[in-house]
Amino acid sequence: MQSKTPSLIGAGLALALFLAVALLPSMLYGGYAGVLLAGGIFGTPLEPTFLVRALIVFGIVLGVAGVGSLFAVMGAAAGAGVGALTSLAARKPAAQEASPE
Amino acid sequence: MRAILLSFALLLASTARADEPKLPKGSDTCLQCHSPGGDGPAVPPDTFAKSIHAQNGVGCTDCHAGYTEEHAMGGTLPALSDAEQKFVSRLEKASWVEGEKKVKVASPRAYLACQNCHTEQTDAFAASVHSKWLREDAKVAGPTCASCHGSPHAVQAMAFYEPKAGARQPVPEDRRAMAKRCEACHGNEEFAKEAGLNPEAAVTYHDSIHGRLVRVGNAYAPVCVSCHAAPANRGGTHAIVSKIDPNSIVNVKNRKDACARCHAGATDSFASLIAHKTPQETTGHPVPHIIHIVFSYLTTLTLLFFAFHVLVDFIYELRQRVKAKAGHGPSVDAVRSVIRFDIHQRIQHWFMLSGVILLGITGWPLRGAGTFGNAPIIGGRDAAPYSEAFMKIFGGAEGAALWHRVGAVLIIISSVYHLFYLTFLAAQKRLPLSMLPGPKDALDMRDNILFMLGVKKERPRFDRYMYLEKFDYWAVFWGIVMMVGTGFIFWFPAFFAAWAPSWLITAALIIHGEEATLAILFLFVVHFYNVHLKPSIFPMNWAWLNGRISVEMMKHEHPLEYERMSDDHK
Repeated sequence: MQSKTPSLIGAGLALALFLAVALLPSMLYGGYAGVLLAGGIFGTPLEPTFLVRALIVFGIVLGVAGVGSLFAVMGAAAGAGVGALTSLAARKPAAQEASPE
Repeated sequence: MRAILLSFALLLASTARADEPKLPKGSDTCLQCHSPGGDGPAVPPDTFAKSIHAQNGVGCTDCHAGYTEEHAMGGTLPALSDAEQKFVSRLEKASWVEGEKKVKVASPRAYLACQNCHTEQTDAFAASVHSKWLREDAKVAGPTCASCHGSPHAVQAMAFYEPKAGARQPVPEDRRAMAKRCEACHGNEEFAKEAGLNPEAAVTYHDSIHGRLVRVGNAYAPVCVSCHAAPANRGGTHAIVSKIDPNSIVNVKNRKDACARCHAGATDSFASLIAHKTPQETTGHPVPHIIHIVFSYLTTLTLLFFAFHVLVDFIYELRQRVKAKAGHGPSVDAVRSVIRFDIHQRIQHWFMLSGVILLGITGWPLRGAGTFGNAPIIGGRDAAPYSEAFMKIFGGAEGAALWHRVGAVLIIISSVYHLFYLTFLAAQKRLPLSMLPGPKDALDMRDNILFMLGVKKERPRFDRYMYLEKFDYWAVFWGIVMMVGTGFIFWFPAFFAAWAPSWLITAALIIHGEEATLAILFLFVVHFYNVHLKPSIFPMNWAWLNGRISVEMMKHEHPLEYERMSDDHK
């Protein structure tokens, strides 16, 4: 946890994965949340008014931000975990080398 | 050795030949003209040979009675009785959709033959609502045998299907395919309006819990015939009658029996929850309506405010970054750290975070798998295939449902642990009241926003918990009560519906969905930004794991607490 590098690499890779596989579904899920909220506020069936469109776009933005954040945070945690394991593995042989036979 | 191999090869070859579908006797003569590219209406021989009709030796003239080789040259067909002629005249008007194609009855006389072999089925159909248009004049033509079963030249045997509570049986693929045929009429708005049917029936089904489960690949979730088919001994799917008919399985007096096919102990109250309407309209009670509106406003306004807060904070952080002088190494305070959360608090948070993430990633794919209809921007798109693909990580829709319950148990454990922890602290007279909200928090919130916008010169000085942290904490209390309370109702729906009024169950359904939207978007966007993703912290604040924060962060974020701690040490 001293070095930020493994977490940054993990977060970066996770965000790349997000862009590759989860961007479109997160837009749809967020947009659907917007549709449901707009339905409660403006009534159904939804008319394509400015406010309804704005709420759906807001939902899409939140959907993308939410799923993207989840990928970034989990990626950072995973990156730190891998970083900790590799530094542990690198320290062991060094310690073995230093110790007398 | 060679002889043995040769014998095996011959044996396998003869077996393969024996398995090859054969055309019924006499059909090859008809197919000379009726094969694709021939003079008459085409019947693909391979498809016909594989059909259940051909496999049972039902030849062309068993249905197309009276046809001889001369009919193409103007030969006459046997005369029909008046009743038969009337039936055939009505059948000529029938049309339905297969895939994208509109199909018409090509040979209505042949339908007279169905009853020769399928007497029970045709008798049941003759008394059903689906054949009403064949009995009396109607605005629109209804279905024929082929509308549901497909072409008689390709029809296959139906799999056994009789859902029973306690003996979970997956819905066979052919019944799923048949649901699409139901929708060809019941999901066609124009047709449904003309026929006096509910034009929303298909959409509301797809958006219901049953429809969503089907859309994400749950093999056990019910399709149309699962509920609407009459009991097998009374004609099954062929005997579907109008829901206002007292004999209908979905009549208000009987529909609990339809539910009991899967949900043992289903009551009238339980059965009233599924009515091809949106949840707030299902029971006709005003409470679900009010809850739907209130939660829509609550969710929207909360998310709007905190999205604004995140945006303002992000711009402030970027400005600070630009202003910061380069070249300075980390200060001593950035390296030194203090304990902020003890091990109990961290364990509670580990249970909570794993539970909430699990609930979010197994629940939202199901919630988001509804239809988007004609909604602006996303109308016509479909998230269900993504949900189905994602849920495969958890072992499919059934597995995801199981993991969802595991997530629920984790947050319940966290909550119970926290209540014990608070009780223990209270017994020790060490219960801190620093998490209680007060008027200072409202002023701090106002002043902090003004500070980040550059209107105020000084940042408010926060104590152990600032207003955002207090909101997080109390929102979890609210969320747990809402989500666990309503989630239990869906865990044991028939049990709760046995004594709770149906509007309460519907209200719970609305609350669970709306609160999930609020909780997941708030946690993943606002909470994650505030604790991990803001530029001064990114990529992670490790306090959730080791309970520590740097002294520098403490001085900046919680100056009043830092000063108090410093005074204590003096």
